[in-house]
Order: sequence, then structure tokens, then C-alpha cells
Amino acid sequence: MKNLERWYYPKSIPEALELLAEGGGKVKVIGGGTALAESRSPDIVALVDITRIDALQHATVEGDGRCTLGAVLTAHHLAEWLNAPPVVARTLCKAAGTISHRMHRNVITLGGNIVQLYAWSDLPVALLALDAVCVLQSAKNGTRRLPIRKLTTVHPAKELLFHEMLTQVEIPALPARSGGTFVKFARTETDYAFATVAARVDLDGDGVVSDCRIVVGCAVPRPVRLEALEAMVTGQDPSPGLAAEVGSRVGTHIRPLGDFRASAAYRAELCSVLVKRALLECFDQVVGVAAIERGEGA
Amino acid sequence: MKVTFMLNGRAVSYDARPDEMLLEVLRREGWLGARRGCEDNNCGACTVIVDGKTVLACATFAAQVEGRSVTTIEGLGDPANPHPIQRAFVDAGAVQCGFCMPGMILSTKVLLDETPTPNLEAIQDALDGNLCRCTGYVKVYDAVQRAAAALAAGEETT
Ligand SMILES: Cc1cc2nc3c(=O)[nH]c(=O)nc-3n(C[C@H](O)[C@H](O)[C@H](O)COP(=O)(O)OP(=O)(O)OC[C@H]3O[C@@H](n4cnc5c(N)ncnc54)[C@H](O)[C@@H]3O)c2cc1C
Repeated sequence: MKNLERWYYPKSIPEALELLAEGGGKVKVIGGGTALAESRSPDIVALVDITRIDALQHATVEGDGRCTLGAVLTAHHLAEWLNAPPVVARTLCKAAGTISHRMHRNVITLGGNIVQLYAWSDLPVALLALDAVCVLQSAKNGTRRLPIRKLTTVHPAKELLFHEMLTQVEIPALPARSGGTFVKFARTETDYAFATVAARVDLDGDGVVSDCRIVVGCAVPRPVRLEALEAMVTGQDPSPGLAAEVGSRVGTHIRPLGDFRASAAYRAELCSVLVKRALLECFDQVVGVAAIERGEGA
Repeated sequence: MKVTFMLNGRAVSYDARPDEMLLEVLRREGWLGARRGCEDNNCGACTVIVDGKTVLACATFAAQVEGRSVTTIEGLGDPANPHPIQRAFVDAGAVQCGFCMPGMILSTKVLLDETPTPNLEAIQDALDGNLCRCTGYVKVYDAVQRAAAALAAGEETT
């Protein structure tokens, strides 16, 4: 960022939005700065440090279980968020706690982790399993709400207009019988993962799966929902056999990346196993099938 | 530009380029306790405390600490008057070449501020980003436990 000249420290959202709109694309938001620290962009002339805006720091749960999360919450804050509803805790908060090490988790922001979407970005994987909605605000266009699903289809950096800022993430309420998990496979606790999986399973009153989310991250260029496999689970009774069957099909629904850490074929196999485990864990949370499997009775 | 912040309890105002890292500025101003190790997010030797939380000075823009409160190892204690955590590291034999120690000790400081009696898992998690190529960590974990005990026993802090 050799042409970087100025820093701004706005105290309110409108102030920040005004700076972005006037900047014509040369003024960028900075959250934790962990990605921008690596930036070589000659186009950025000013940075807007949004971490001092009080209106972006909230983590609230409504009476019905809906959550709203401010864009500058750090990964550490999310990892330690004690009031999170159970499924949010098991997906989003767990994912946040697996990111790199404490010095990074202390600064990486929710907004930065979403907007600067890398293959290894962990929070969007969990947010896809939670049907999260991102709130984008602009001094020119007002507010729009984009499902994380839509935001991650192309790339958030392409989807966001230069004058837009991600201000908060909304997580809808989940049914009472809902299970969720996030699993990561990495060489060490702080290394980039080989693969991550987030899953969510909702049950209806009859104990049948009413909705399901299966998301794969890290092994693919951007996190993806495996909708064909989700459909295989929906409408079924949760069982270890179903988890194994769905897991065995993962390889035909993703095009994994291969690199020096792991080959594409290895990652495909890994994702199969992780999806099976994730589903089993969700089933276990909602009906205790793993307990049945272990012969411990219903 | 000028960056104005609290450093080890004193207000300072240092010159910095807008794209300059905190590590550069601290070292130029003589605060060599923030170590220049990998300069690439990996080793943790440049760890400093900003508003009560550890961060990597090599990956933090100096401008990000404007108005904030920064602590380097120099803010904890010195050879004549070491902080109980520093004394515990020496007593436990956790210091060999010493290069990683400022980061290790500052991470320990934040850990013990938040969790006065951490278990081994919490200690390992807190020191995850601080690499040491000498000790093999066993004595480091021992040192953190000694420090926790010393602080609990009310040893004087600086
Ligand atoms: C060594 C290392 C290991 C890492 N490992 C992992 C890992 O395992 N898992 C993981 O998930 N992450 C990991 N990360 C973090 C990840 O790579 C990104 O650096 C991080 O998510 C960026 O967040 P930030 O808040 O620091 O963003 P910044 O660097 O502040 O910003 C990144 C980009 O997003 C834009 N932006 C930020 N916030 C907003 C907003 N609210 N609205 C609009 N635009 C915005 C900025 O303008 C910029 O273009 C790692 C980082 C490092 C350096």
C-alpha cells in the first residue's frame, strides 16, 4: 500500500459510510488488518478503522433465539461468547475458536473474515450452516440484506460496492430440536486446515429431519453447501446408516483443491469422513442415535 | 504521520509512515523487547499487548494503536526488578536463548490476568502462537504454573 496516506477513526456508522462514499474506491475499511497487512495494492490511499464504532460491537440474542452480530466482533469474542444459542455455539463459536492462534483471534473481525473470503476462512463455513444474512450499508444506496449463501457464490469482494460496508450479521432462530457442529482437520492447531465441515440438522415433531445443511470449506476454493446431499437427509429418520451413506457420496459433489499439504483425492476422502462424523454428531445431539449405535439404548 | 498512544504507561507520539507496522516503529524508538523474528505472522516473538489483548506487532499497522494502550516486555519489569512472571520463567529454567521470551511472557501475562489458575490446556492454548526452538515447551508450561502460584500468593507486581 505504497500510496496509503491517511487513516480515519470514525465513531459512528454514518461517518464511516460517508468516508467510503467520498473515497470513490480509494478509501477502504480496515477491521483487524490481518489481511490488509499483506496488501500490496497501490490503489488504497486511506483506511477507515471501524473498530472504534460502538454500534458494530454487539452480540445480541433475541427472545426467539435470533442473533445479531456486529461486524467488528473479533474471532476471540465469538469463541468466548457465552450467551450464544447452543447450535450457534457449536458451529460459529467453535469455528471462531479454531482460527489460528490467540494473537490473530484477538484482532480478526467477523466482517473481515467474511469479506476477505479465502479458502481457509472458517466463519463463513459456519454461517452458511446457520443461514446467516449479511447487512450491507451504504451512504448512497441505503441498506441491503444478502444471505451469506448469495454473498459467497461469487466472492464478497466482487459483490460489495466500494461504498458499502458490512455492518452486521443476522442469524435466524432455529427450531427447538436442532443440532449443529463444525469440524476441522489440520496438521496443527494453528495451521491452515485441510478441510472443514459445518452441518446442521433440524427435526420436526415426529423425529423426522425437516431441514439440513452440509457445508464444506478449506478443501475447496470457497465454502459450499452440498445441497443435493442436504436433500438426501431431509425427510429421513436420522440414523448412523444415513450419515455413512451421505458421507460416502461427498466426493462426487465437490472439486477439491490439491496442494503440498494434501492431494485433491486425499481431501475428497477426508471430506467424506468429516461429513459423516458431522452428521452423526448432529444426529446424536437431536436424538442420541450414536448412543443407540453404541448399544446404550434409546 | 504521528501516532499517539500510551506505551508502558506513558503517553507517546511517534512518527510513522501510514503503511508502517507497529514493530518497525517500536524498534526504531528503542523498544527492542518486541523481537523481529519471522516478520510473517508465524513465530510470535513480536507479541505485544494492546488494550489488554495480545497482538503481533509485525502484523499490526502502527496507526491501528492510535489512542490505545500498548505494553511491551519493558513495561513489565527489568533485570533489577523483574515481574513475578519473569522471575518464574527464570526459576523454572524456561529461558534458553531467550529470543521468544518477551512474547511468551506477555502471552502469559494476559492469560493470568484473565484466568488466574489456568489448567494445562488453557496454558497451551494461550501460548499456541509463541514458538520456541530451544525448550520444547515443558519448562515453559511449568513456568506459567509457577507464575500463577506466585501471583496467587500475592507476590508483588510492578
Ligand atoms: C497466518 C494467518 C493464518 C490465518 N489462519 C486463518 C484460519 O485458519 N481461519 C480463518 O478463518 N482465518 C485465518 N486467518 C485470517 C484470514 O486469513 C484473514 O486475514 C482475516 O479473516 C481478515 O480479517 P480482518 O478483520 O483482519 O480483515 P482486514 O485485513 O481488516 O480486512 C480484509 C478486507 O476486508 C475488508 N473489510 C473488512 N471488514 C469489512 C467490513 N465490515 N465491511 C466491508 N469490508 C470489510 C477490508 O477492506 C479488506 O479489503 C489467518 C490469517 C493469518 C495472517
